[in-house]
Amino acid sequence: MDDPNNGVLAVDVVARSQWRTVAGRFFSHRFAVAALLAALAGYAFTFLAEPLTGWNYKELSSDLSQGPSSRHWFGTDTIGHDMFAQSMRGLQVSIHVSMVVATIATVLGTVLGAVQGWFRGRVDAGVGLLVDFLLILPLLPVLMVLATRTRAIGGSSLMFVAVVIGLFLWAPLARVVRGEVFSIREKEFIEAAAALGASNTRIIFRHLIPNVMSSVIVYATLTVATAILVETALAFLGFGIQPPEVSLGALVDEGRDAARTRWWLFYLPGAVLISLVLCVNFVGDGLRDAFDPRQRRRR
Amino acid sequence: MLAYATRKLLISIPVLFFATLVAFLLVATVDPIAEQRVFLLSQPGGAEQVARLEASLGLDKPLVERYGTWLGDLARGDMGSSTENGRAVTTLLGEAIPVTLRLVVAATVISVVFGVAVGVVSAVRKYSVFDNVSTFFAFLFFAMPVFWLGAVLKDLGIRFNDWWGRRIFFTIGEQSPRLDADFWGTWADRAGHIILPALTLILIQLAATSRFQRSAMLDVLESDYVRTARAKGVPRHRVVTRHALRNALLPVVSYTGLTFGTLIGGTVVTEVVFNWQGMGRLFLDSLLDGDVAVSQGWLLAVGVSVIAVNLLTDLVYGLLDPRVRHG
Repeated sequence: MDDPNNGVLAVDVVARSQWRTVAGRFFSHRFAVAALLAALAGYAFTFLAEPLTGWNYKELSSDLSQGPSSRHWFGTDTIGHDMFAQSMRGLQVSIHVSMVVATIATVLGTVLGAVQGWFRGRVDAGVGLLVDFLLILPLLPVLMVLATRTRAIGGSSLMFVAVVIGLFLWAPLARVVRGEVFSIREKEFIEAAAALGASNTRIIFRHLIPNVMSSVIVYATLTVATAILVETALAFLGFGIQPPEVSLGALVDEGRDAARTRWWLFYLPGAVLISLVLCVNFVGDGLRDAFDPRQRRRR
Repeated sequence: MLAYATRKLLISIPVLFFATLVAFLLVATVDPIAEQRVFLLSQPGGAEQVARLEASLGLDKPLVERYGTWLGDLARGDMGSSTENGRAVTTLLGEAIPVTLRLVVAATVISVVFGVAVGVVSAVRKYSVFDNVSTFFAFLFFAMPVFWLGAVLKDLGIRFNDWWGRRIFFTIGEQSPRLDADFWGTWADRAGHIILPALTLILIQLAATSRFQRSAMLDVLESDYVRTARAKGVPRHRVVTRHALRNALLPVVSYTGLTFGTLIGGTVVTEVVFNWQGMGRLFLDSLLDGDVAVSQGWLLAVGVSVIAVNLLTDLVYGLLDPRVRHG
């Protein structure tokens, strides 16, 4: 018999990449998957709200201070805004802001942390000073000052607020990446790359950063949650995103004095906000477990 | 320990100077007489008046010179005075700091003590009902914005008062207005007012601290030296309190120091929610009024407190971990 395998059983071995393993673990985490789906559905819903309910967030209806009904799902405020449309717009703004913040903070934190860990010495010390400073900085008061300073140049616009917050939130990630790079840089494959003449840029971007991606992704999720809380707190104090743009923080602020008489103005936007942060945290937890199963349910 | 403490203290000095620079520069370009300027310039002969006003406030000088003057005055204990009401910044801070300090100290002490306790019990009884319940609440409060939780507690307090028929929870202010009471009466009144604001900060801090303590404790409990201690017959409770806890406290100590800045932000928000006349209100008003001297003084006071707290955490860390102070 002509057996191409010489009697050895042919087995198709498909290597599972690390990413597939991680994805597999993440998708077996029911809470995290549910939270991710809920967040995505919520985001999609912010665009569907207007066609579904017929109300635009800027629109003033003649229904003043009405409770939730089939006409106004979250009721209306004193001047006739549909609170569901407003809350959905606020949710959209929070998601957009937090995505921009997380992108900026993650890129900065990863690159600066890797640069610190790779070059060590003076570069490490210099960036390290900035990291130490940012870590203990009382963020909210500083952002409040910056908001008053930049009002004249569009400082209360969505994008501006997001960029400013992003510039302040990269320090924790930089510290973690630095620590991991310190240990990875001693490995043989880095030594090999350096011996083959790879440039610093190549080593940092092709060899070091891909190997710290698990921490980067987990911290990026944490940054999303922090960004949402910071943006809404600023808006609550009146220093963040300004009307006519909507922020869930501003909605809570406007509704809180009416908490007893018109509960929907206060509790419903707040519930939307907490649900969003909870979803982000659950996704983050699921990601952490997926990347590092030993740490499961530790935090 | 003395050498370690001295070294830490010396490092704080340049940091302190840096803090004065940041506090000064952040607000230095605000025009403290913006409103008068617009008004005066519309009047005949207003330009001279504006120039005189600028000279009296030192606004005609370059920024570096103004920083030098500010620093010099600061060294003599003069932080300037408010452009809104003419009161000295030191007086304003002197009134606001004790109010806020009560809140910060109460919230920190209670949340750390309970956070450590909850974390240790959760770790020792991993996956028990207690652990699961505390995990649930930690997750919930970790996701809660301070301003929302504060406002919810305030609303619940008011509803409870209505239902009970008399006021149990105070929801406005740091103490009753025009309070006429002796020493103990004053403090009892203040304690009544602090319950809900402190609870707001405690619940959120507790969520993070207890998770942190649990994780640190689990790490330590799995370490070799703890297994050795158990193997040689040291009683379980003694292993937990003597061998494990001391090491598991380290991450929580540094975490508490690092999040002090965040706590300041939370305090500002909480004070606004509960209408306290503390540091939060002072800062908010100074920013809204463009009251430069007050904003600068406030930022400096907060900067100094952040540096002091971090110095304190370093020292506690050194006390707990001999490797740090000898390293």
